[in-house]
Amino acid sequence: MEPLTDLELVDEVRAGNRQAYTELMRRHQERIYWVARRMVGSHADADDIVQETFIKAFLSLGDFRGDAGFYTWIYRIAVNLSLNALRKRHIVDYLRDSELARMVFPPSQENPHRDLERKELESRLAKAVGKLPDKQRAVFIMRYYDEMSYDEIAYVLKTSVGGLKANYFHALRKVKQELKNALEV
Amino acid sequence: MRLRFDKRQPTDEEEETLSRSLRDLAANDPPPQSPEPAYWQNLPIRMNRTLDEATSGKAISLSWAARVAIPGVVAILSFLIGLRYYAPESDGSLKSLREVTLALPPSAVDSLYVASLTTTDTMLAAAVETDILEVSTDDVGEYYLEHAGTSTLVSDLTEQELREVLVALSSHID
Repeated sequence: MEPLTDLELVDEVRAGNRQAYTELMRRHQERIYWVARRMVGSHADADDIVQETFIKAFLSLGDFRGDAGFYTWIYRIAVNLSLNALRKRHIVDYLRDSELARMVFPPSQENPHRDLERKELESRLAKAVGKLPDKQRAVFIMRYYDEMSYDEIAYVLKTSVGGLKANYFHALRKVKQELKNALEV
Repeated sequence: MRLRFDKRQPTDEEEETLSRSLRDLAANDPPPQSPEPAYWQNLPIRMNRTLDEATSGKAISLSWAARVAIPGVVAILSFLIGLRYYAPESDGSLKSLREVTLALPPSAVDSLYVASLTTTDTMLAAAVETDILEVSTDDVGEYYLEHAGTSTLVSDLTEQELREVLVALSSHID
């Protein structure tokens, strides 16, 4: 028997079949995990984002109109959650580095475990990608790793196609240069 | 910041060439460590558990509180505070107060005078406008509560409203 398509499974979920959603999660969890992991760098953060993505998707399944595929739709949720996580991290890092934060939160109260894990798990390529600005990083990941079309990337980032190509090309150059530098050390 | 003057869109071939050279460069770079197979097996179970919690009654009531109840209470409080402190003064209440006062039966008007601590039932209408100003606003408020109904109830009459009542009363007596 042919396995159900994503859209058929979505209809099943809407009809109250939770098992169908488990099947959707199994089908896409790995790819969603990797986009989150490449965006945020650490396993723990990626794990949080994967869970949040599928919960958010389940709760807002009523908003899914099917004009894009289910996978592209949850991919967009995952990218947005990753961008939010990065934004929060930038704020935390900024506050942590500030003079006031050093006075209020001594270094012992930081979470060195997660930072260490983040550094250990990153490959040199991932580190180079991690130096890109957040949105450019998202474009790079979608194009380089997931080989998405510019139309799909534009849908995910809610932006126009114009400029994405130049943005990606610029990102490619920067990552290549960073990787070269890292390999020479 | 460096300015880039090259606004030409890269061609597909240029992109492909650069992408391939990066892949070649990264070929010897070890891929990031993937989670254990058990992680993938347990992930849907954990997500289902979280989903159960998210869709349970408690979560729904919390989400209902967050989306409906709390904004509702805030809106009502804002309205009441706005009404109390920011509502523009209009003479609508004064008119209705005056109308109600004028519509009161004579016996009720008499009882208002009698109830007052500073007026007497022998007081002349001419004296009303001066002496009756000492009538307690609380007394008048209570009086309206009993005789005028809640639509014109004024628990704390302002000085201006009290004056309006007195003028209306005096014209009633005349």
